[in-house]
Amino acid sequence: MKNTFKINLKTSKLLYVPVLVFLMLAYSCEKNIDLQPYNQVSETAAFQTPALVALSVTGMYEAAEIGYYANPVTPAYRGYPFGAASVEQGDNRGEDVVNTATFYQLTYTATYSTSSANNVNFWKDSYRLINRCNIVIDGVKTAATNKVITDAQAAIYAGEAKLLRAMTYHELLIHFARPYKDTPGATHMGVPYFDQPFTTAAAITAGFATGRSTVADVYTKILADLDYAEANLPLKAAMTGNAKITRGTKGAAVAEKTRIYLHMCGTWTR
Amino acid sequence: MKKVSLLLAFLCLIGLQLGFSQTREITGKVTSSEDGGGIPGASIVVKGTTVGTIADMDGQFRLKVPVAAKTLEVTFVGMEIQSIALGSQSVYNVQLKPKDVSVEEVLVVGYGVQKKREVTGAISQVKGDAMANLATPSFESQLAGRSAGVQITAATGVLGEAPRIRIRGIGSLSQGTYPLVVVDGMPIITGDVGGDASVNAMGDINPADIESVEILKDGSATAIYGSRAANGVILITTKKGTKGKASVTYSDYFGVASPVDLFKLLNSTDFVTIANEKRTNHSQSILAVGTDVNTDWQKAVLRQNAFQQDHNLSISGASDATKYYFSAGYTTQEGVSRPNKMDRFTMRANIDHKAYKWLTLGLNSAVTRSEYFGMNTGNNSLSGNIFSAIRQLPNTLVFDPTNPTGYNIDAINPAIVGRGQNLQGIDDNLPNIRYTLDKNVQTSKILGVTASAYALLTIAKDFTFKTQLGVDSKGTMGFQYWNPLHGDGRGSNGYINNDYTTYLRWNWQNVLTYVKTFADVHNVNVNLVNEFQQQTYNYFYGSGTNMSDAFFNKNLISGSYGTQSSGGSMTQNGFNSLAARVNYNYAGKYFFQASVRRDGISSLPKANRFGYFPGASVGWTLSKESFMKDLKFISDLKIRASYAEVGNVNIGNYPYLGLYANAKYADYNGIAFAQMGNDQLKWETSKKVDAGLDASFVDNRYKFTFDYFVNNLDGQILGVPTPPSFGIPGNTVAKNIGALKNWGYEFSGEALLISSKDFRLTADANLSLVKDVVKTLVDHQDIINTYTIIRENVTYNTLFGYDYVGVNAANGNPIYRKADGTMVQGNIPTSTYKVYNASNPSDISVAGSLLSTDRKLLGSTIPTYFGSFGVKAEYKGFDFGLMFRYSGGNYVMNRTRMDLLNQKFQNNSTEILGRWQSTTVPGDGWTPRLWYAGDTFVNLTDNASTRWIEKGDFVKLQNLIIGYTLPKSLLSKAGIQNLRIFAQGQDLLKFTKYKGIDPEMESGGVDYNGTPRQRVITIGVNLKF
Repeated sequence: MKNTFKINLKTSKLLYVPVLVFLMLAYSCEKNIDLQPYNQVSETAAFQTPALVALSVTGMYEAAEIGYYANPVTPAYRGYPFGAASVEQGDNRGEDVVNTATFYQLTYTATYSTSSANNVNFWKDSYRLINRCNIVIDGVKTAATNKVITDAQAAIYAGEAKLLRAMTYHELLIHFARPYKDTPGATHMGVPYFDQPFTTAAAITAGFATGRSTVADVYTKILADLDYAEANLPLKAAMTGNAKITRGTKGAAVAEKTRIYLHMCGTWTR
Repeated sequence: MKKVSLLLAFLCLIGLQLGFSQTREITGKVTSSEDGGGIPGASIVVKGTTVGTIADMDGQFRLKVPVAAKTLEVTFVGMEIQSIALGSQSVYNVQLKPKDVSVEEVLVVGYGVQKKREVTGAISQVKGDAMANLATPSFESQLAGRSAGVQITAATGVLGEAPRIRIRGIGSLSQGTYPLVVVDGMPIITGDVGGDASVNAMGDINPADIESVEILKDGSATAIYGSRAANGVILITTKKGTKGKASVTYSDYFGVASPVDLFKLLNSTDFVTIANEKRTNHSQSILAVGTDVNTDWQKAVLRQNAFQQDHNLSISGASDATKYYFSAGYTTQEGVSRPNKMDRFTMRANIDHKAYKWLTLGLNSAVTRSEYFGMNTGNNSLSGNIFSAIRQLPNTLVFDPTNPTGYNIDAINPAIVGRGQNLQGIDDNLPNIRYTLDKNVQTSKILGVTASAYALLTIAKDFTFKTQLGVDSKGTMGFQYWNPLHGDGRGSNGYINNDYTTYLRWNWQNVLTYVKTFADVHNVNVNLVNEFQQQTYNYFYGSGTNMSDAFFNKNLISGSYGTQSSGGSMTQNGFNSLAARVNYNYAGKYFFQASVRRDGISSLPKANRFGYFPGASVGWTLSKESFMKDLKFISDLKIRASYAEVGNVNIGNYPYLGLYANAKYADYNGIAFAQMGNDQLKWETSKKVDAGLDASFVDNRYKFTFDYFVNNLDGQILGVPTPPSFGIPGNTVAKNIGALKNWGYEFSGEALLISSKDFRLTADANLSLVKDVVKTLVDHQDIINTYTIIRENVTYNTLFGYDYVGVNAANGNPIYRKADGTMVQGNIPTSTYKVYNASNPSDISVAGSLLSTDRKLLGSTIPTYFGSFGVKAEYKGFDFGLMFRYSGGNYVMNRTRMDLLNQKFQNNSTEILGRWQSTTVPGDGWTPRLWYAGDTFVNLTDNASTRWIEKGDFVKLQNLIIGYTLPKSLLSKAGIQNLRIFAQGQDLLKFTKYKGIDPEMESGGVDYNGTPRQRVITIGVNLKF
């Protein structure tokens, strides 16, 4: 070994330049390809700090406020499932307005179909919100386990997510299923019910195996969510500033629950 | 060498003495065409004999030749052989030209150079001279037609818009298809680099600095670039100094550009007739009044003589140790559309210095400052330059001195262009397009620096090591301003925006090379490469609306606007790689090359980020075999074949990651799930097969190249739809699922037809036949776009729409053929479909339908053949060249033509004069009855139909050049080595049946209100001291 060394030295010291460079590079870290995005937060980081958890919860509300009306590549926005458009469509479904805008004409004359843009996007945007709720419920649980946030805080966040999830499923049932009383025991078909986040390929595979739930089933789950929300959300009076009107409260959960029972007419037991 | 020639001459003289008795004596002088000086030592031989002599110190010679001798051959090292026919005279003055190329032709390949005769991949070379002096916003548009298999299409005449480049077909189903571009070994940033006017990064390269461009087409040539090679690789080599004293060159041109064609719009008289017929057919009151004014609004928007000029100065030279090339360039070009313009200043310094026997250092650097002035070119935008120009009413004025602005703006509705005497303003609230083009501002100002420094070490016998560090950076300042009074900015009371975009890329390469010849016949060349790259992109903007006054229109000025907004973003990507390549040849006869590259790519998940990209090729020079020796007319014949697997990483920065994007809930910041991750995502793969042949005949006078290729693309990234009830962002997951195949043939040839003392004529031509087919899509599902479809087993992006039959002569209704072959007519007055009964065409009693299921495949949008042919001639000092370019086999959806036949209160093309008017005036049988506001139904807006689809075949006279080089004798006194004056034209003639402006003005197979391409005529000089 020593011998070789000597010989190389004699021939040319320069030979070590490439050897050193290549060796150095072979062992160098992959810093220049270990890149993380700056414009968005990677899903692995999204629930890693209390601030990011709080942002994720607020971001969930965004999906309630406004949804996509076209594909997200060239997005147009409409207020689905709980924004302005939703309210306006609701007005046009009723008999208390006279429609003059062509945009609402399909709704106004009740000629919408499974391919009407407003229906399709209402469906898509509702489930977009539900997935976000599921992500938050799952994420805050993990964050609490990892001691990123307190259990108490996690329960409040989960309460907010469950309130939104319950409201959205109920809205879906109103539009895409027959009323609760249509069959005795509401055993007719409702909408597909998911309470796990779709963020992985495994979740997608599992999702394909899930069919539509019965209306009764969905109502049961809605009530369970609302019970949780009622138990864990703070009173409006305990909240500060704009959060009083922008975030879920115990009162809101109770009010929504009342509404659900009204829709379940006849099962009024409380 | 001199000694040898002396010896030869001596032997020849002896031969002469002993040889023939019937001789005569001739004399003469051999001079160089470069400086007119004598060439001492030039050899003069009677062709086919050993009779000859060499010239003396002044280039003079004296020789006894046999009376029967026919031809004299004069040769000298580094000069071209000159053959002289022997006549009756006894004095022969011979001028020798320096050889164009060095002794051995070389091609630039990835991380090195190779001798052309040893190359076994498919590589096209275009010399910088071929493109020098051509007026062009960026050099690559001039590559069009110059290389087989490479199709370059400039779809518009907008300066700053990058042309589309396709190397051997479609490179990807859904991801980036731009080739990798490498300048002097440094992979550069390409595409639009930001700002508010269209900008093409390639425009930063001064065409005058380019020595050669190599286009790597097949797998084996590109394999060394691994994951970036699927779309082909373009290698650009800039000029270096050549040995000798410093030479100074200056070149310039001045020219004018104009649109290749204009639309044939209605004049006022026809417009009034047509506009009112639209209305009266629909039982509405007339709107158009007045024919006093006759304005061609195209001419208000398009410049008929846009001025362009270009100046280049360079100093280059080399001593034994140092080579240098310095250049400075300035160009300013006006585009054909107001106010489109570009200004570019470039500086380049290339220096190579041999510091020690074992060390050479070098620097290639370029600094470019360019400014682009753009405009709204939106093809469906109210202030889009062409969209608006073709619609403006011809009986209205552009300017109105009585209006405070000086422009014709409507007095009743100041949002729109003045209506003149018409009873109503123009439809769609179109503004005065000239006002918006003159007042609104969209600019991009770029500072670009591309520099690479290298050290080349001879580390041991046969070993060299090169390390090169390069940087490419672009800083682009964008500015946009919309005038508050009229046009786009009226609604928001003005809009002003400043933005800044930077790209910074660094690249470090190390190449270890081993070259050795064993036993005189085994030639081995090994390269080991490693390469690192990282790129960062930053962007931010600030903007405001509700401007206090149009006065503050040069930059964002604090406090001058109401609503303000700001934003920005940042991304990074990088790779690190190891590659190895072995070249082996046996006695220059049998060639073998193999390479493998291992790329680690930041855009892919950790588990999949490393990929191996292998390639191999073989070649066999048959002409060197003994059995070919007798076939004297074959100078060179080589067959070659290659295979490689390369990748496409133009797939975005983090396509695999699950991402949370900003999601603001009212005023509260939030983040939310925005991209579904796929940790299985990989690069797209292209498996490239090539078989080729290179041949040359009769002393290399005729050259021919043939290639057959197949590119199998798989793992194409497509969005796999997920059920909307999963709530996944966009309801898709990106997966490697698609497949596509391209295959074709390439032929190219060049011939030296005449080569005599005063006259030289060469011709060249190339032809490419390319086909493609989509093999696999997600669940075999069609991807349907507005006018086209991506469907399995048909060509990519095929036109898809309705089959139009013509006009029902009985009532002027459009007739379509349904999928089942039956015909329906669109009853215009009721906007309903009725069955068309050929035996009773006026019957509209039976209800029919035209459904989306009646749409058919209507033709490929991708040319199946293309190429060029041209000739070059030199006669004494004159030179002449022309090049024709052709392409075809594709169809174009002429959406512009549809817009020109709109049914609104807007202008039309003269085609509308052929409309159906009555059973006695049925028109051209193709244009239905007019019906105000009937666009959607009559024209089937936003649908393809055979009414608008036309063949895209064309032949164009792409370039015509005439030059004259002044005689040396005139110039030498002034110390000038060379002076050439020239004139040339681009895009001068076109031969096509296409009804639009130009069948090349398509993007994705659709011609849609593009700015006409430019025809440029220039004059200029090339000067060398």
